Amino acid sequence: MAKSHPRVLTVSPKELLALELLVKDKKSYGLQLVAASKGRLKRGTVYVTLGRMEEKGYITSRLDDAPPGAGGLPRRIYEATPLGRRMLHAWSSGARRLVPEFAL
Amino acid sequence: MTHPGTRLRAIAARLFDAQTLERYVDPAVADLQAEYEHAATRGQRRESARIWVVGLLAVVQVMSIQGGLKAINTVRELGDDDRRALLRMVLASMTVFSIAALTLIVPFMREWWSHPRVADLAVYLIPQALPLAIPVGLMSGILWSLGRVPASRTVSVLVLVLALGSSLVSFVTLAWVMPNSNQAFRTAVAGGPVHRGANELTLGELRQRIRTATPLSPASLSRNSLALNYHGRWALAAAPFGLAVFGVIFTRGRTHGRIMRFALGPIVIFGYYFIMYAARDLGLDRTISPFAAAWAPNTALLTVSILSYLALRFTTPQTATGR
Repeated sequence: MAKSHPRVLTVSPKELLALELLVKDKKSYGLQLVAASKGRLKRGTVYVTLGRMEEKGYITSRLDDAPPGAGGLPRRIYEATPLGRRMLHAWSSGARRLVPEFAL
Repeated sequence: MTHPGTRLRAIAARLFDAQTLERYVDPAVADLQAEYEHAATRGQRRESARIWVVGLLAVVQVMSIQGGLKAINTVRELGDDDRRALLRMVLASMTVFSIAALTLIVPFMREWWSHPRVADLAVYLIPQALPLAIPVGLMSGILWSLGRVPASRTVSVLVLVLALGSSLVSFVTLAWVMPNSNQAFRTAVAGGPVHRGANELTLGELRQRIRTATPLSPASLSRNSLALNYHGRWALAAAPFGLAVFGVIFTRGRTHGRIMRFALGPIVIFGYYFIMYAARDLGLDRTISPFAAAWAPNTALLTVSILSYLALRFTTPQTATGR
């Protein structure tokens, strides 16, 4: 029986940025990440990025409990998983070693 | 309190599956609603209005990205028959589009074959031809290809998505690209700066010019023609989608004979442009308003589409007409 190839884990620059912010702030809403990124993450695409990261297993999310009296949909709160933290650490240390000028 | 994004979310719920809605659309809507509520409860009316607009645009962007990904996946998962029908439609559309565009460009170029910048001049004429050639190509492709075998619901929806994209391309061309390429053509031919006419103004500049022209001044005639030009560009941009809707209604779930498939396209297109130019004359001499004149062909097309839908719905399916 042929061996199945292990899945290659990839991470884009936007995903790295989102991971970095989530590791720093522990938990965030999508809009908070946009604000914290100072415009590097865009409001229209951050949710697509976060959804993709959740599919890869780098982050997890849950619906936040709404404050009393609030209406509308419950907000989704994101946080980094252990895999996501290891991925960020691997990229950071690898970048520092290979290209010190571009290290996070 | 009205929660912004509720209607958009309802549309998204019809278009996407539960996972897409939960993972991509709902977080965007929820953040918008929370941010808006925060500003509104503090009485920050201008800020809350800004949040409403910016937030809704973000939700639309999320839906567009997911819609595009869904369309790509849908094409990948198409059956062989559907894929062949779609490919035939695209190839037929592109062939007719190319012929139509060349037919519109070449007569203009005959006068300038010996011009030192003949290649540039030909390029400058392309945007002018696009808004007329795109609907012709699309309509012909739909009728010739999708009328051969009954078009499935998936293929019909994909064709309409393609038509919507074509309308957007037409709109961008008519609003910004064509005016600047027209001006570039005129400048190249004149060998120096040339004053911009109505066709060389972008949509925004045209709107501004209409506002500043006073209704009872001697320039009121030109205000009418400016308004006609303005509304006409919007209406022409909608033509690819309108014609595609007609074509899809006609081919959905039924076949048609060769004569019908090849004759109907030119008849509809000729009728569309005939009404467009006739209504334009009525608008210029103020028999009807510029808005009514500009949208007359699309209104006629919508009426014919609705009547076709009703007529075809109440006849037996796969009615063979002609040969």
